[in-house]
Amino acid sequence: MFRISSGAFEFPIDQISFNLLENKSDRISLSWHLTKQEKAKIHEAFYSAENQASLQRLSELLGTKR
Amino acid sequence: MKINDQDWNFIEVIRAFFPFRLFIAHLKHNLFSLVFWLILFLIVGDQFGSSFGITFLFLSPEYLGEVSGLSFGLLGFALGGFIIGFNTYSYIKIGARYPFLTTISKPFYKFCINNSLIPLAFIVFYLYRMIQFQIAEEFATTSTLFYYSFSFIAGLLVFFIFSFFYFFPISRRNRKYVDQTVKPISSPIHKREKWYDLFRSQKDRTYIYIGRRFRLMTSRSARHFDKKLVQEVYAKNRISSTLFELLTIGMFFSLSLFSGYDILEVPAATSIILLLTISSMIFSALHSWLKGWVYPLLVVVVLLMNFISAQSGVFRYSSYAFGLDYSKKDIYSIQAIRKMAENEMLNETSKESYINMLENWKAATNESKPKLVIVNSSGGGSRSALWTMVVFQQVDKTLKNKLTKHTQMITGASGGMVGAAYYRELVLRREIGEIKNVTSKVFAQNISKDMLNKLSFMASTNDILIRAQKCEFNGHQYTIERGYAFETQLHKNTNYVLDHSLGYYKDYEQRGLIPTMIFSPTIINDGRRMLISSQSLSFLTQTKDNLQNSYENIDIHALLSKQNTGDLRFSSVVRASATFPFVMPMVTLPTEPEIQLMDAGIRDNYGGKTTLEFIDALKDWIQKNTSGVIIVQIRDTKKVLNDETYKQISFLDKLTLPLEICIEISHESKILTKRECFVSVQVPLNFQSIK
Repeated sequence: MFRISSGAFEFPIDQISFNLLENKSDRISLSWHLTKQEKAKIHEAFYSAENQASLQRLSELLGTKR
Repeated sequence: MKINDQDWNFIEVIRAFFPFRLFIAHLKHNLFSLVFWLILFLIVGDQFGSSFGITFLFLSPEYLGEVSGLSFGLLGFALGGFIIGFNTYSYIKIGARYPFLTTISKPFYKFCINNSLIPLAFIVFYLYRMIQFQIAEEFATTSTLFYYSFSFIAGLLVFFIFSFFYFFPISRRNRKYVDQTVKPISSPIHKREKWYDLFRSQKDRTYIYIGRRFRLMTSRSARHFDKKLVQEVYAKNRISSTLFELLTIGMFFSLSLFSGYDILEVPAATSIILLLTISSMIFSALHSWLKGWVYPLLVVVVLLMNFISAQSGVFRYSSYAFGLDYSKKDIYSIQAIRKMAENEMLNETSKESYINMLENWKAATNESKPKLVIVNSSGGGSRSALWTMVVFQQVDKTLKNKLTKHTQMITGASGGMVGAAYYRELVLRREIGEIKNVTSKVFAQNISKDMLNKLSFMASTNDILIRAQKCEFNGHQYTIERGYAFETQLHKNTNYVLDHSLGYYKDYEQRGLIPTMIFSPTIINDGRRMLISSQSLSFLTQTKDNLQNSYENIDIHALLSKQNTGDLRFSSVVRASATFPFVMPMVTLPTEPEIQLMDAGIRDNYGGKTTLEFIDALKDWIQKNTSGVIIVQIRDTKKVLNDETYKQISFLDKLTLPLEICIEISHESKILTKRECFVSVQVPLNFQSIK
């Protein structure tokens, strides 16, 4: 949606996603309770290759030296 | 096989086995009680209410904030009550079909023992699931598992022992007197069944039952017993379930009335079992009076309640946004909405004020043409709350706080916004020098603490029956319900740092210290979106380029003109955008007619809509002052999952899939053309129901 509409503006719009569940099998229940295992999964999710790539891109866009 | 000197073959044993016959009798004559068992089996088997997490409440019960032996003990105790309840009403209902019960001592006790096929199966199934769950999900050690299982069984046994002494007090064990009432069991709520007549109509069969010291016995015939003898036997063995029934109901009411005390906040699974016990008892009592008429009666009662609630305020429970005065109501009509949206002056002032804030934000970044970051965080309960927290913390850690410095606006739905609200508060506290490190693990732990037990406890004790408790906020009184429980638990988990009013953040946002948050709960009456922020967002309620304005967005400050909207409790706003259907009640606003707010995720789970409208409204300023926009999406589920597969559609799917797809589409439109994309931003779902 953003990609298509970004053409309507005269400034660049970049979109960066951090996804918690990348595979259908990574099931974490949708409720107001988390198990230890689920908490661990959520913490780990940040280190997935895709999310690390997103972090890298965000870092470049914001012009930060890591 | 030889039982009591009689030869039986295997098939005969099965056919005559009393526990098995009782199971069949439940199927034939006592089906409703099996429905209650089925609910329990489905919950524990993760097949009922699993998306709300009800299974967790049973497999990982919490008491006083932790999973402990005590919490399992309480669960076992409650299940014991459910089992005894099941036995009492089953005995009333089907006991008379077995005349041989009159020939043995303590018939009710023997009946219970023989009626334990289902309870036993459930206990075994529960322990199996609990152990499996605790190992896989909570990394429990063997000793912990033993401790939990032992506590659970101990809880069960405590209840059984209590009931044994209650039903068979020592003083009465050998009492012999004749009472003329033919009541094998007395209950204040059940109709008295005439057992003797039922007796006469039964076939004289031989059963194999579990008798004294758990030995298999064969039953004797009771054919030769005359009416007087049967009466005598019953008088001798009469048991009373009166106290049991009254105690159960009394316990339920007191839990509901005193739910403010931590000690009485039993694990939610316990209150659910208690609720099931009461429902099954009442249903069985009604059934004993009304037989098959009970079903049409229930339909009539529900329809009647519905009618009364539409006509008057009775049964129409409201969940309040704390801080608002519900005695002052603003009109909600299409005219009022149009008037607000077309109030040029209001729109201009709000835009000027926002641009002024953007200038301050820009100054705070120390860059001449900074990137403007908008964060979209998706809904999804605790998992989204924690995920949003983790992403913010980790990115800020790696990029030296550059993410929060560049973020001007945060929008999204439900859980994601809960996490974002907490993180933003921490950032504010860092900015004003109250804390040093916002990336500490403690904060991630806090936001991932359990909210469900408190919520479900309130739902299953208070909300379902009487809502007698009140709370006070800003000098106004409100009825307590699970929405209040949600806020209380959120504040408890986050050490009360978020306990502010909406207006509290206004100045901090204006100064560019923290990003603005835009909440966008759905107005359920007509599908419009209520924009709630500390700032006035009137400029987002009208999109000028548009030929047909459908006035899709409504600014809360403009709508509630009679209120001081700045006093609105911030956590009530967070809650309004996180009212997942059934789990939490819709939030009522003081308007005429009353409007109800529901999860922002219904319309815009990822905040994409608000974001596009926001960029569009401020594009000139963005163009002149920034080097572009970065939209950071913190999503709980990837747009296209890596291992997504598609299945063949079955017969039943044709019925259910269209509904599921509707829900999915409302979460996000996956394929849109450029034109459709803009149209979708501006065309609301349905506007017919406005009066």
